[in-house]
This record gives sequence, C-alpha cells and structure tokens, in this order.
Amino acid sequence: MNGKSLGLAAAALVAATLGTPCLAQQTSPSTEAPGQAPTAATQQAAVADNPCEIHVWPAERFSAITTGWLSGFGIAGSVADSAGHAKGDQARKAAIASALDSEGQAKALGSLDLSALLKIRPSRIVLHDQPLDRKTVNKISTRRAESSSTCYSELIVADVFYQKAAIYGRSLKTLFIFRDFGAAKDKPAIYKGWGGNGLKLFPPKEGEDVQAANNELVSVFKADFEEFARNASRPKPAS
Amino acid sequence: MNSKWHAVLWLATLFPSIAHSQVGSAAPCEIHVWPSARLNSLTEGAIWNNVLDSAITPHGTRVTERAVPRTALDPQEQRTHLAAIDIAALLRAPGAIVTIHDDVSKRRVTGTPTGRQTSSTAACYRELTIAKNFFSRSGLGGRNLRTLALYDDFGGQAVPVRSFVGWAATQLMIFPAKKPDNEAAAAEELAAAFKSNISKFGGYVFAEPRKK
Repeated sequence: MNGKSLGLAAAALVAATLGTPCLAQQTSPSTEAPGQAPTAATQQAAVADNPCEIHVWPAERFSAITTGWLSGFGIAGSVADSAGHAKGDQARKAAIASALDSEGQAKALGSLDLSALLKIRPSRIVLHDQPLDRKTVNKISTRRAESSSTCYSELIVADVFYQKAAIYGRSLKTLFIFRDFGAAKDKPAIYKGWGGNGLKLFPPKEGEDVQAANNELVSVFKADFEEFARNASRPKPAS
Repeated sequence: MNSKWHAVLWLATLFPSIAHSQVGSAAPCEIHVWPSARLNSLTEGAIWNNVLDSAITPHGTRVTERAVPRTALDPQEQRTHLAAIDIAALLRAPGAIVTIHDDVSKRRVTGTPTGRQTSSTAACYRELTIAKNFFSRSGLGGRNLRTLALYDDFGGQAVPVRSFVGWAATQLMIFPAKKPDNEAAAAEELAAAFKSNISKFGGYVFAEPRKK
C-alpha cells in the first residue's frame, strides 16, 4: 500500500458519502409485462370528446439481403453472392429484430404524432404489443381490434427489410399498411407503401459496440414512417 | 518492510478512521446478471421466411422446419448456465460477488442507458444483461445461436461510466434435434454455445477498439 492507495481510498469514501444512487429502472410505457395477454394493448394520449382511434401493430417479418458485384454475373454470380453474405445477413436480421422488436417499434411509433403525420382527425393511439400473423394481414378485411369506434383506423407494420447493394449502399425499408374504416366494420380504404432511408452506422462489425447502430435503426425506422405518411396523405388524383 | 509501509501503519494506528476507509474501499465488487426472455428464432424455410419465432411457434399445420423446443434457453436454463461461468473473472473483477437474478431485465438495447437496476449502492458495481438469444437458420448460412448482451460498469456512480452492447455467435451442428435420440446432445450443444457466446462477449467488452 502506498500514498496513491490512501488517496484512492479517501476518494472512494467521499464518493460513497456524496453519491446518490439512482434506483430508477428503465421502463417503457408502451408494452405490458411479460406473461400478460398477447392481445393486450396500451392506449395512449386520449383525445377528449373524440371517438377516433388508430390501432398500431408491429412487424414480425425481418429480412436482410446483401448483394455485391458478383450479382451482375448471372445466376451463378447471384448464388455465389448470396452464399458469401448468408451468415452476415443472418446476423443483420437478428440485429434488426432486436433493436426494432415489438416494444421498440411501438415505442418509436408512439413517440410520433401519427394523426398529424397521416393528416387524419386527432385519434387515440392504441399500440398493440403483439404482431399480427403476417400471412393474414392481406387476407382479413375486417377490423383487427374489437372496437366500436365510429372513426376507426389501423396502421400495420408489415415488413422490415435491410438491403445493401453494390451501387446504392445500405438502407432500411419498412412496409406500412394504413387502413381507414371510418364507421364501417369491413372493406376499409387501404394505402400500402414502403418508406426507405439510408444507413450510415448499421451494420456494425462482429465484436463491436452496437449502441450507435441500434439507435440509428430506430431513427431510420421513424423516418421510414414519416416518408410513408407523406405519401399516404398526399391527395390522390381523381380517376 | 520499507519506510512507506511504516508510515501507513503509524497513520492507521493514530487515525482508525483512515484504516476503516481502506477496508471499506476493498469491499468486493458487485456484479448483477439478468437472463433474457425465452429464445427467439429467425429462420429461412421452404415457406415461412424471416418470420419471428416461426421455428418455435407453430403456424397451424404449415410448419416445415424442425421444431425448436419452447423451453430451450428459457430464463431458468440461462441462469443455470450463467452460474457455471466464472463471471467475475470474465468481467475482470476477481473476487466480485455475482448475483444472478430471476427476473428478465427491462434494460433496452436502444436509447441512452439509465440507472442501476437494483437498489445496491456498492462503490464498485457492474451489470451484465442478456438481452436476446436468437436461433438463426438459413440454407446457405447454417444454424447459429446469437446472443445480444449488455455490460454496464457503474463504478460508484448512479449511471454507467461505461456501457457496451454487443453480439456473439456460435455455430450449431446438432440443435435442433432431428430425432428424439439426439435431443440430449442438441440441448448440450445449445448450452455450450450459450456459454461460448457469453465468454466471447466478455472478450469483446475489453478488446481494443478497432481502428476505423
């Protein structure tokens, strides 16, 4: 033991005396505790005297495709390209599904003013924490939530897709489906479209810290929705 | 014994409070560990591609993949495997008191880190959180177990002085078992892959950052 150790001990004592440990746990208002009913939903920002509701479901399908220069050499080149990137694409899919899990998607969308972005009447946002079965998304035309609202709409996140191409670079594309029922129970007005934006940090290399890349995924996911909402709310030409 | 030691002993005799503070600072570190929720899957099959948990949760009669047991790497099993690892040595805190928690952590892998997940006020406090375990499978990429973990070193502070979030992966050759005879070997392989991923993650936490 030397003078330096004594100094450190004294500093630790001062720190222990003055330090106020924060006991707060990280919580998310947008999901339920594990084990609760899968259909449970979190309601957000009730709008007084307004019957409008928008129900939001997260995606359960996550894809990743990386193509290089070999894809320009026909079928053999494409197969070689896919084989070369197969493990990396597996890793990228898992990374996207973790950063943008159901809770992450709900949290990201819940932080946006969905009604304003979609240019619909101010609506109570209902965030569902379990995705819809992907194969039923395009087949079922009735309301997916038990609601008797006379101003009812749905926003379904159908696919989250990472793409890297030799020329165009890396991007995250998200397929959204907006279904506006109004007072009807069936046959809504549907707008389906992709939002896509470039990535600069994602994907990180193996063994690297992924915090910045994860945060980038969340911000690009939000940007994808904003792009979709701009297109969805654009006046449609009369046919 | 040199003159510096004599001086320290004299000081300790004359001022017991100094000696006490030295003992206090030598208190062992605390490492708190949380398992993740159950295993997730992202697989490619003949019909269902890239749908979360399609290898685990049956989708009617259309399941074409080998089923992954729902209990594989559940929090209870993870805790058993984590207890078998020398976490203190892995996180370079020999002699640390390691507590493996029962519940699943709410620490997110996105956003800014928040405070300690326990009420401990230890002056040397660290957290290891297993965030996700993924079973990945594709025709060209094979089968892998991927683990996403978080390391938060709080020192004596209320918020982390250092956080590291990273993935580790290990290839699987047997899991999930094709036949009932292989189930024990498959479970053993999955356990070994999980432990290997935690060890790799420990290495990544303290590795020199790559030069860009």
